[in-house]
Amino acid sequence: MLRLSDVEAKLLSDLLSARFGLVYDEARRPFLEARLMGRLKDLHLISFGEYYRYLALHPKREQELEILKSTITNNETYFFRESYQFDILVRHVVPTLGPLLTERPLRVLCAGCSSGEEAYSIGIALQTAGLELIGREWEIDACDLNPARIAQAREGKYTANSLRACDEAQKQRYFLAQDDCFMVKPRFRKGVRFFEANLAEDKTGLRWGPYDAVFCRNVLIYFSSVAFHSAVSLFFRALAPHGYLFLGHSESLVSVRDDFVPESIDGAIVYRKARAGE
Amino acid sequence: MTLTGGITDPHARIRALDGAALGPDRDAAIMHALEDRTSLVREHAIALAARYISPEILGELVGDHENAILRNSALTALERQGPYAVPHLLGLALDPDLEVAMFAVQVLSRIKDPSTIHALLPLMEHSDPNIAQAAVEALGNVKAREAVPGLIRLLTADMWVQFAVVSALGEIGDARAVGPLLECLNDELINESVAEALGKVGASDALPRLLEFLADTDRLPLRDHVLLAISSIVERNHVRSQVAAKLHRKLGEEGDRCGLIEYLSGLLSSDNSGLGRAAATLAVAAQLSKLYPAVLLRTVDSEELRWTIGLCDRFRKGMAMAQSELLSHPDPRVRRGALLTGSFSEASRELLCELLSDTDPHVRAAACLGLGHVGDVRAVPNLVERLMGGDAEERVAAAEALGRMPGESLAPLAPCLDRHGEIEPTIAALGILEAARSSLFEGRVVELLGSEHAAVRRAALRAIAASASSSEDHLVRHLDDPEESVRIEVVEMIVRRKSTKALPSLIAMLELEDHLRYHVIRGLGRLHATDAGRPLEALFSRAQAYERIEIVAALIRIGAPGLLSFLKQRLSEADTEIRRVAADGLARVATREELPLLVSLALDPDWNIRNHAAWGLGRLRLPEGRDTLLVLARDLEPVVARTARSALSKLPPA
Repeated sequence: MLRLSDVEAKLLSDLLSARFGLVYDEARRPFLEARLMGRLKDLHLISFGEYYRYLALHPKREQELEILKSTITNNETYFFRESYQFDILVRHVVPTLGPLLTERPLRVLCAGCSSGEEAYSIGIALQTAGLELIGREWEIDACDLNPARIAQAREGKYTANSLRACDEAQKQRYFLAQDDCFMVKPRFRKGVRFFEANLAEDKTGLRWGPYDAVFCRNVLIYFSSVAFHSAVSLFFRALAPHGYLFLGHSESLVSVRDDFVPESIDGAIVYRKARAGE
Repeated sequence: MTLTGGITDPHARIRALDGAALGPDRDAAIMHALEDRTSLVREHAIALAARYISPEILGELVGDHENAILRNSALTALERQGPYAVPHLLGLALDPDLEVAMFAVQVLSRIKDPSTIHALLPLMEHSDPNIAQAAVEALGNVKAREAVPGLIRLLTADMWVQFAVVSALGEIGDARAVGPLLECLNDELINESVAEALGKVGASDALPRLLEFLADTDRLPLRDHVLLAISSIVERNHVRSQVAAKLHRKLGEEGDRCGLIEYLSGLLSSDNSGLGRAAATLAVAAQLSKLYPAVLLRTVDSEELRWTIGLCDRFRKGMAMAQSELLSHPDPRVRRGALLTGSFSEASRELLCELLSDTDPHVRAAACLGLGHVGDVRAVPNLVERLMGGDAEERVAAAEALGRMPGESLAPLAPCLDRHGEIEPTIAALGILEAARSSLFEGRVVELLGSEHAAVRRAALRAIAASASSSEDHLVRHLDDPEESVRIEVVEMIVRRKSTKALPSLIAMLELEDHLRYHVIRGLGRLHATDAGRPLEALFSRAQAYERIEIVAALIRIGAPGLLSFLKQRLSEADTEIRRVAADGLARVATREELPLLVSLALDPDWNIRNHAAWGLGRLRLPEGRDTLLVLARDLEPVVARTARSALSKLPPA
């Protein structure tokens, strides 16, 4: 079976890091191998070294990079993953905004949203907290590098695997069962919109911010150091002065960035945008 | 020194450090950055220190007990220096400062250089337990068999060293350790580590005692460790039928009494893949038939399916005896698993054909695959029926099964090969003929070569290429197919068939200027077409960049006359990728005469070229390459450092 050599792994990782900001260390090498094998087959190439040369020089390389983008960013997620963070959004972030939200909607960014489960989960959390009843509105912008995932998110159709953290009551309340799949009910799609973006390159034509909260969970761990700092800087610029950044439970900005202040809320760490002079 | 102190952005500090590393204040800048407040900068400084700072100076920092950050940075840098630092570290291991000695031995442990064994052996009985422990660990890491007698003696040493000894014996994997380790199984403080070590040693002598332990203890996590050890031993050894019978007696008769079946059953349905597999190994090896359904339920996951197929291949007898029961199990997932993991003979044909009508589509698909493995041609009509009328999974499975049948038995496929028929069944049928290497419908397949659909033409070409002796003529004719994807596939097929007839046509295609030429160039290289050498060289100067690089790669494969000279010229190309491929080629064909050139490539700013230089020096195995390799072993790029260390290990001892 064809294997990625050390040299090929570095050549390809460097290229992917430069292009998409993603890193593939040794632990993720089997993942990369498995994903790239299909591309080699489709292009009739016989080694990863040839594939690297194809990506570096072939006239059709841009086309291939578009395909590759979808191939290597298939990160699986599910509804209500680490849901305590949504509770923090509802119980702490929203109240601190107080009267501001009578004048404008709550604005949340889901960065690296994959197939949309997180964005819809936030929408559901805001709905079920009764915010609509008291006249609050929200806009949840969700972006991902992978166009296929964005398409899936827009469709809002999921298998049981995505609902594995939902009990039966939640499945019935939030979803419509259709054959073997589950569709997010229309009222829980309200305020959620999806778009393609590359967090490592701040070239999107869409306005970034200001957001009251940014969720970027279990995404930055795959980024190169340069891309990591670029993305976090983007979040800093995109957040409103009081804004919060939510990361995955194994991710941290402590001793890495001094433009975010870690706060312990309900036993979890969230990062508040530092105020001037802080 | 505050070269970078005033710069707040860590990336800017790194850039400043890189700049300083090129100037006269290099060493001072690096030393200062080794204690930078940001780990990102420190890591970069460590890489530079490994490259430019001597082990002697770094060793002095190891003795700085006031500054842990600086000391740790120095230790990491020494580790990165690898074999280059070993002589100095061996000296530090005897330092009167016991902490320095301990750190030195710990770094040697991580470097894993076999040349350090004799220096480390006496240290495992050092009066300082930290040094002794570090030495024991180091000897385990280099798998020093010479250390085994001494380590066995130390099994009765104090606990601090004992843990390290048990672990080291496991790493070394010498069977002499089995008896002494088994004696330690009753020591509650270390028995988990002992079980793990026995699993790593992998000797079947340990099985009887471990099985008793597994049956007699219900304490977790000890039981888990023992199970993992047993499974590791069973997998690594050919477990003879007497041992399998012993396993069955011990566990089958007594397992239920000790709650063992319940324990294994729980693991089989858990998310813990390692323990689940260990439980499955034991269940199948010991023929614990009560657990077979639970083993098969794991095969719903495709990774576990692949693994379980391998397990059942090794222990056929047990599952075979329970086969008919499993195939009629009420849970379709068990029936499917039994079909996919089982081995079947012609006697199973009727049973498998019955399962083609199972209520569950996944079971029906698995039954198709089973029939394919049996290879009984009487099943062909049934399989063709599934091919035409089944759901997607069944159609794929039926196609795979039919592909395993003798080519002459595939007459029922005739309706699928109608030129005017539907595309999908036609392509499926052609795929089957390709897999079966059947020439049964050669005439019809040749007709399909003229299909208006490119996908059909491609499938027909593949079928022809797999079977007909006259296929080369058909392939050559389709080198001018109107569809580029077909032409590309034709080139691929020519290469796979190692066709010589097509060579003149391929060489002639070097004059065309389209994307196909890229594939032709690659193809000629893979065919080792010596006649293509001169035309490829002649094409080089007028080819596009992406073709030029493949021309270099092809010429390397062909081993054309004048290759060395050609590659040397390519080393001065402006395009880095061409230089890289040329350096790769040079490393493969260089002789002693090219040693100075390889040494100069070792200084190239491009890491990839330095890597090829290291590899080439290793291939030549010339002692004169040692100094260069020692420099490369400290390269800033870890890939290069690893290649250099591997190359050093090939050289005759200094």
